[in-house]
Amino acid sequence: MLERPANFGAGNYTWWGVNLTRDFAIDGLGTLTATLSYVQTSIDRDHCVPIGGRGQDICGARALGSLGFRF
Amino acid sequence: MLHLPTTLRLNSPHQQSKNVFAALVLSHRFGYMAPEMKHLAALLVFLLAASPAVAQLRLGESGLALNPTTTVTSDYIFRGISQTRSRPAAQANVELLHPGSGVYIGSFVSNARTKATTSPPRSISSAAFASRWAASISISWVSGIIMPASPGAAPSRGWIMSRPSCAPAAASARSRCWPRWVPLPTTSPVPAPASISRAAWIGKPGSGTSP
Repeated sequence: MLERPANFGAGNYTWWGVNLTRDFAIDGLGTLTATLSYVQTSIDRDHCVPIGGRGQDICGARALGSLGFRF
Repeated sequence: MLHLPTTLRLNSPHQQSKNVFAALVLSHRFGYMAPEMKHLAALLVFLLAASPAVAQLRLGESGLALNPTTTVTSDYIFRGISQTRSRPAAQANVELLHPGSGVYIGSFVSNARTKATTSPPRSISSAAFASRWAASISISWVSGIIMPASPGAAPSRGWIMSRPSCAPAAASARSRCWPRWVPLPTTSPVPAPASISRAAWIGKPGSGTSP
């Protein structure tokens, strides 16, 4: 996937994100962690891990949710 | 390369049981997963339902503890870039830690999806890491090395996993890399690559221990 793994073939860039996390203790089982995140990078689409000279749409701003369980 | 991730964590004093909520969310995500992903998700549901009643697995008198975590996420983001092309990911993380000193070592695995991989359009990303645990520090840093490896056929040209020392495009340099990376013509059908990337780094958690 990556020609230069450290930078994903995208050169130097900055990324930032905000996470909102909440833990829910489940008695006798573990901890459920729900997270909402917003992540953005300084990479424009044309320079986003280009294939054949064309950038991809994987570097832009995005919101995501995750659900983790710690035993 | 030095990374300075900062985590703002808002803790609520209220603890609630949300077991039913978890089951609903996991079921909802099944509809968007490839068949192989459904197997992973089913495994997560099984682990949620049948895991032993322990919060942290103590390893006898050794003073060590095992800390497994499973996660389902709507996107696998690594350093701000999606590794699943905005698709869901199932992840597992295991930490072996020494609570007294805060030192831990662990491993992380997740599905990943790249444009260069065609059929099946996915790969597995795994990582091993070592770190010193400092839960009271909210500003953390992570630095290290990444050593990707692909045991199968390489993805299409221009998207070759390589060790950092093999980054130059010179054929002579590439031939010395392990494993050997042979780019395929983009116009030809690409066989299932089954790429596996590996990474190792050292750092302090705060924004999560997974890559």
